[in-house]
Amino acid sequence: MRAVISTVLGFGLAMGTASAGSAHHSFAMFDRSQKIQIEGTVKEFQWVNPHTWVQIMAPHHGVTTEWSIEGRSPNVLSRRGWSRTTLKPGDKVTLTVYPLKSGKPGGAIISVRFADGRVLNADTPTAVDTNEEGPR
Amino acid sequence: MRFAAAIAILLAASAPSALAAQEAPASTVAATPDLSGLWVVSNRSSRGNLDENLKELKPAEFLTPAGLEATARLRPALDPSAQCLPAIPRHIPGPYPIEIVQRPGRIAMLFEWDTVFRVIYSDGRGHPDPEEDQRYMGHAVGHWEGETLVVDTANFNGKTWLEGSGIPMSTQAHLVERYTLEDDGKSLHVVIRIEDPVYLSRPVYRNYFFNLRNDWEIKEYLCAEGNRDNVFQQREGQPGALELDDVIEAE
Repeated sequence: MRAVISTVLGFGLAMGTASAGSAHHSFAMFDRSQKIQIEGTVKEFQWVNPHTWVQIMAPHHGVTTEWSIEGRSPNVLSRRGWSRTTLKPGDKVTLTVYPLKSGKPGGAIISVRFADGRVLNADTPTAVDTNEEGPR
Repeated sequence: MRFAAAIAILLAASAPSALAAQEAPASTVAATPDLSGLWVVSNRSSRGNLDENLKELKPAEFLTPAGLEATARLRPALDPSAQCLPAIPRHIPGPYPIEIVQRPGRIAMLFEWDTVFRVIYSDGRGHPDPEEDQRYMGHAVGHWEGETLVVDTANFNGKTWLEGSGIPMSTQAHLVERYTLEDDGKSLHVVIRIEDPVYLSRPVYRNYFFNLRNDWEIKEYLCAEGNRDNVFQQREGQPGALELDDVIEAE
């Protein structure tokens, strides 16, 4: 298990910058100039409003720690290919997140990579641009 | 209550003949568009707070000194939305879907976000006494100007924010929303004019487009269930992302 920090330049699609904005609260407490990869074991996936939470056991300063990773609502994610069983306790996954500016073991989820290499995006804009998109 | 007066005159004019009363409104009713359907906000919507030409304004161009002071140090944990409290106009761009249900004299907007609704009364009534009746989502009355539904919203309770940046809304806030179908009924264009003498130095506008998505359905959204961002109700061991003392300085 490891944590990798990388700086990204293009984060225009980050939460809160889509035209419609972030609904429930400001995401200003997250550092959207950085993406962290958290590789660990899912403890719990809370499929609840207003926001989902992934509780994941992963290293924090070298010590296995329970991270609290905030995500978009079940309403948004269910229209983006997620469901309440997308993540299950015991799943080995790598989360890409915007970390908390405070340095505490938390962040906002961008995507998840499963053990089989499959990647699911969690951070696409909610607004849709045309009527051509199929049902979500 | 100019509109109520106009209705009264119309009714009086059509009163003498039952036949005339049937004929006259028929053409008016036929001309009224039906906004019913499930609407999803589009990326074609404008960002930010706009002037009357829909050009984006900088905070100093539209906030009063009180508005600038209120937003200088944002405290996200105090956002009414982080405590699951709804607001207009904030719930309009959502970004969650809105089901509009229209019938004579009333138009309901059912918001997926927070599973709340508003009823726009289009039967000629006015707003209640603003001292007695104050609401998170305001009190809304509407009338038609040609093909456009014009909604007047007042009676705010002064407890909501205009947006997540922390601009408060006072009890004197007043909205005029204009809803027009476009693109053969597949788009809904919404322009909102916002006035608030306490926090806004000039009227500001919002410009939104919605796509008709009747293949979607409204989902449940009950914010209280897992609200770990309500710093006043946090549970032991599983913190949210917000802390009461968080402060975001204005740029």
